Amino acid sequence: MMDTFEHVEAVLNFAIEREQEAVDFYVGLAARTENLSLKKTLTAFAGVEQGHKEKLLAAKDAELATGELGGDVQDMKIADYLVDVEPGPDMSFQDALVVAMKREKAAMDLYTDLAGRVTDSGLKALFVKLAREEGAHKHSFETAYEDHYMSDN
Amino acid sequence: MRELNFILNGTPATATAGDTILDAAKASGFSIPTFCHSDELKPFASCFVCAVEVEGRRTLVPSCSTQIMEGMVVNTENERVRNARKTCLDLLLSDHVGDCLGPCMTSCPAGIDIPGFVNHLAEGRDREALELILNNMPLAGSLGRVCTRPCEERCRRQLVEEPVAICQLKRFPADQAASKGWNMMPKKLPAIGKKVAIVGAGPAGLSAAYYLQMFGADCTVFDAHEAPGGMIRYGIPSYRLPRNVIDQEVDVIKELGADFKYNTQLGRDVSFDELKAQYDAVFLGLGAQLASGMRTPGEDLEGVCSGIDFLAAVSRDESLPIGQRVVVVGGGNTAIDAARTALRLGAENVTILYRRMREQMPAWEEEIEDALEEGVHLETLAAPVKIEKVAGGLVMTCIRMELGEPDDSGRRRPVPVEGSDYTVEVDEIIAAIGQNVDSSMVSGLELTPWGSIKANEQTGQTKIEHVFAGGDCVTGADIAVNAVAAGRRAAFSIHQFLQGENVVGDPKGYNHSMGNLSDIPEEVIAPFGQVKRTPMPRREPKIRAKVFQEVETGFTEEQVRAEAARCMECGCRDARECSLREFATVFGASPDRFAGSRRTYRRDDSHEVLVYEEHKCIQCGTCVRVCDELLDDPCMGFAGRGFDARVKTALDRQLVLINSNELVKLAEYCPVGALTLKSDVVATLEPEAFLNAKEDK
Repeated sequence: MMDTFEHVEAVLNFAIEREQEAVDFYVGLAARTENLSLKKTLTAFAGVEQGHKEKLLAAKDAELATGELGGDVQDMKIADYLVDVEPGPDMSFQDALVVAMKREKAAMDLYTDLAGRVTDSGLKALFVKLAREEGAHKHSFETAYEDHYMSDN
Repeated sequence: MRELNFILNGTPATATAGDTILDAAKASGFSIPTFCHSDELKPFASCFVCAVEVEGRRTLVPSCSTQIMEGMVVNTENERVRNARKTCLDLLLSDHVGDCLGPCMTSCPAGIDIPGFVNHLAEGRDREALELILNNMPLAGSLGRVCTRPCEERCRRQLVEEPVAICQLKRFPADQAASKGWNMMPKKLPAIGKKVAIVGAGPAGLSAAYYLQMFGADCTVFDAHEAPGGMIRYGIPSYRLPRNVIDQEVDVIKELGADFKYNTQLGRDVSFDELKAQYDAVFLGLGAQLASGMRTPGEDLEGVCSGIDFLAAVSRDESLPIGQRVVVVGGGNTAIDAARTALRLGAENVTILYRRMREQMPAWEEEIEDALEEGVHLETLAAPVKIEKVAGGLVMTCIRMELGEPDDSGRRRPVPVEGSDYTVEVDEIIAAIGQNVDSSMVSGLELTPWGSIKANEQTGQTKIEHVFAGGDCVTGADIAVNAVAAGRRAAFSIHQFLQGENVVGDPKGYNHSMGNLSDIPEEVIAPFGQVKRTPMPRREPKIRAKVFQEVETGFTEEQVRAEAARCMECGCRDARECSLREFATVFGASPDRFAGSRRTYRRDDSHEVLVYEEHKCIQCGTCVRVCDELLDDPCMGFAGRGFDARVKTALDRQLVLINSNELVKLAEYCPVGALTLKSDVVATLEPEAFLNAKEDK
């Protein structure tokens, strides 16, 4: 894997592709659902992912890859213990949040894993930064989930 | 007398020579506000709230002392005049000290006239107390048992020792009505020939049906369950709220003419489109009865259920079998109710498992205490992560939690402690971690992402103009009194809609307040000696934990009188007639515009029948002139000058020392609540005056 990412640009391209996949995933789901409120939610999720992508594109242009690391984000680990949900147009908002939390967790884990594999300090910093970004997204979905679906827990 | 022609608000009018503008305007149907004017007294022109514009004059003039002249052009309602009146009222309010309504009443979501009904109870007028409660709350017996009492949090008696037991007092007259068979059927307005569909026979729907029937509509109430009450029947156990209490209160709504259709579920037995087409208006009080699943592996196994389903099943059959070892997951009221119910069904060992600390449990503290007293165990900072079936029961794997660092909102959210897994063997697991709204059957409405219905906060109106919504389906799972209040508000709105009026709900009038508990002057508290709050009689924990009999047995009559007498009667005796409050409401006046120093609290209670509250006086001078001109007895007078001028008793003596038989008359003339009679009840309405007031609107 580490051979695949010899250049910062390659890392960023990889991350940008992943974010585009996420945008496509939520846009596709939104198009399939007839539930207006879920459609709105999924479109908003797609917007968030699009925002991530744009941030990465900007980083690529400005060579910000070795810039400041984001702050630590608390990992509430809610997604870690929930049963997987099969995404579909009939899923509830709760399901949609589970899907989103788990996607963000997978992305966070991937970048954390990559950061542990590379030796180049610039690349390592970039992966840590990306992992933290994904962790922050996961955290925002998890707090929403906790507030709305675990209010008595 | 010579007739004069003048122009009033753009229209030709006539007056008799010598008439004031105020009199002439009144004769032409234009009411001008005033504090200091009385037909029996000479004009004084001190309050200036009666100011009007006379074209050609540079400044506004007091209408009470300015006579009509031939050809005069008078404007009594234009923007300049309204602004001047508002400024005048803003100034009067800026140093005014007092409460229009007691803090208990303003913090009651349903707006029950609490000082009023408590006063009636203290004096033994139980029926009048109940009538006053029913103006705002048709479920007095039910809510008198299960309300979480936001009113008591603001009760000023806690500055002396403890809040008055307002909620438990409310139960008493409702129980009296039931046991003595009082006919509490409210008066109805004439039928308006309009049909309203109400979906949900929970607190919101019942409340909407009660008031809509009173307003003359024909309501049909649809409910998926086989009996009325919604969450108060299927989510609150009978040991807290006996079913006959709900039934008796619903019987009144039936007698009012509402038709109830049970076992009729929206989306299955009747569609939203049908209701919208067949009824003049629809009220959605769907509740929030969809349990949030734990989403834990093994949640679907036999022996695992949701708290809400468990309580509903027991509500239907209180002899359901249950295992010996029960774990309830969650820390809200549903979890506590489920745990206490499990004990009553015969479970030997009941544990509540909660992810956070006890102080963070959303359940009502008293209910937590009751559960612990009855033998429920509480395990905090732990959460289930897996459930497996084993021979003889279930094994639940749990993980210890710790509170993380405060997040942006300042909350410390729980996080799992790695490697702290442990297992427990149980027979049943009840998950009560949260509830949601199932709004899948109401297409076309605006919803929040989590499914609750978006409706106007003041009116309950949704984006479909003849569809209204209220209660848990709008707010998410919430306390019952908020649902009752929402149902009532929606009833007002629906009535307005059906009559073709502007939909405004039940707007509140101006309310002046002495502030929060920490703002209350020592002098307010000083006259009250310590009297302990009356504890509600209750069954012993060991006995009650095995049966479904009601835990709280209710106050005796003696206890009610004693407890009600603890009320400090915050709120103004003149709230329903006070001109300052009335004009402040009309002109949207505010005490904050000219905020500065306030008057000193000074209450003279010495007289047998009259009370003088100097801090509420607006210096209109009416009482001074009544003494001079009508009583010929200078018992009141002005002291000081300018902003420091105050109306005082003669020589600033206590009222009791003033030797005048006529003194009590002053209360009649005072336009605000500065001079009042002790016999006047601190209440916003006379009993039975609710519909009369509605008709007058």
